[in-house]
Amino acid sequence: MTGRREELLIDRALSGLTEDERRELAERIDDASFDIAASALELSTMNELEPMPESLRAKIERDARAFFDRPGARVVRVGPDPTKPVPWIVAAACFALAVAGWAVAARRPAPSADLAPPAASIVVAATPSAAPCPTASPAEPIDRVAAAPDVVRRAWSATKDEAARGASGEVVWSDAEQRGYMRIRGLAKNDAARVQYQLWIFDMDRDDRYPVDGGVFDVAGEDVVVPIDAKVHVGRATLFAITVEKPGGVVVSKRERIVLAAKI
Amino acid sequence: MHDDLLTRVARGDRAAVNECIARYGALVWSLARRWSPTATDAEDAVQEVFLELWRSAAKYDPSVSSEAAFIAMIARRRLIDRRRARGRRVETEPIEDSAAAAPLDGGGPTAETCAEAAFAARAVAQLRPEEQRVLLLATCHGMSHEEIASSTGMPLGTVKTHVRRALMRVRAALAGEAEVAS
Repeated sequence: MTGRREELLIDRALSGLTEDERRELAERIDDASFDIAASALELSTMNELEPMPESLRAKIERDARAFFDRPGARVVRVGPDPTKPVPWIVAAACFALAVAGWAVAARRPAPSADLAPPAASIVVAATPSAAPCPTASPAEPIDRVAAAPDVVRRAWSATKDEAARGASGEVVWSDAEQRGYMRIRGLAKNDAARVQYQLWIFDMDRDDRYPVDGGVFDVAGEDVVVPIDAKVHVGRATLFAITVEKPGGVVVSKRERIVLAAKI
Repeated sequence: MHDDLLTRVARGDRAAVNECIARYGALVWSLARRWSPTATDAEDAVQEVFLELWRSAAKYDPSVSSEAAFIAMIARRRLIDRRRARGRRVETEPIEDSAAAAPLDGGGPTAETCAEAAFAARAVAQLRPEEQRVLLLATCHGMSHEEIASSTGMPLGTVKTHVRRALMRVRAALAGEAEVAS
């Protein structure tokens, strides 16, 4: 004889539950084994799978992008072994020098068919301490950042990477709020199925080899505002940098494609 | 690595998301077509299923089931809820036809992508004919106990007993196979 809990689990697997039954089950320990058994049984009776219509597949992919791009959605870290150190400190130093106005020669970025062809070297033009770019009326979370007492705004410095040709904008960040946003203009649109942009936040309290992942994002328009989603606490941000990475981003960047940087 | 996919989806890996759609789109669509009265309804259902999958991916445990079985479970739950909301059972082919087509010997294309399907089919093949009948009516045709009783002539209490006992045996068979495999 089945107990009441098993009765509810079986009924859920086969025919679903009423609201009262759902509440009753919620008070008991859940167990998906009956659901899995019913699913396995149904799968065993399906002789042939029908391919999903292409138009529906496109809808599902669009829904997925919207779901994972929504504010607060987590972004991925996948990629090479994070235990292998990457000399970020070298790259960070280059950025620091660059944004202070010195040209820095770096190795030739790998060619990419996913964005405009990269430049032969990364040379950053002199970047005066620019006045903040004018911003449109921001959304509520952005309002809170902008109103934070420790908010910092810095203009992006573009590298010679082709994707950054003509790019500008600003990064706004508050250590106290642990929030920020980026306004980016003119950065090359990316094919998210091939490459995505990833933000890195250098933290005074952390090893420069391992900057904080600030999130992966896409550029679909001429002027975009992207919230910053720091994966861990940032003690004191010192530098922001955007790289080009494979879809989903990476745990540790190889710095092969650096497009924008801003020193705090 | 198959069982790594949903874990990556849960972390928001865009490539994994696209791969999941490519790999399991046909499975979800086929289930939706089976449970939905129209193709349009099936399309709406598929959209809902995948959204629920993105929300639930973090709950996937490879020690409990394969990805295909987990995704089929997510799909069935959503499809069953939609069916309940519609207030009627899914129109399907007669049980005799589907029963004849059911690979109760453990074969079938889906068995290749989901080991549990093969185990479940073998378990069902060992049930008494009346238990097989009511279980398939309940599981694959979405019939309520009352509808099964009405269409088969069995007393309602007998239908409930058969269905529950049969599903418990399928579950036990899967658990046993899992133990053997481990």
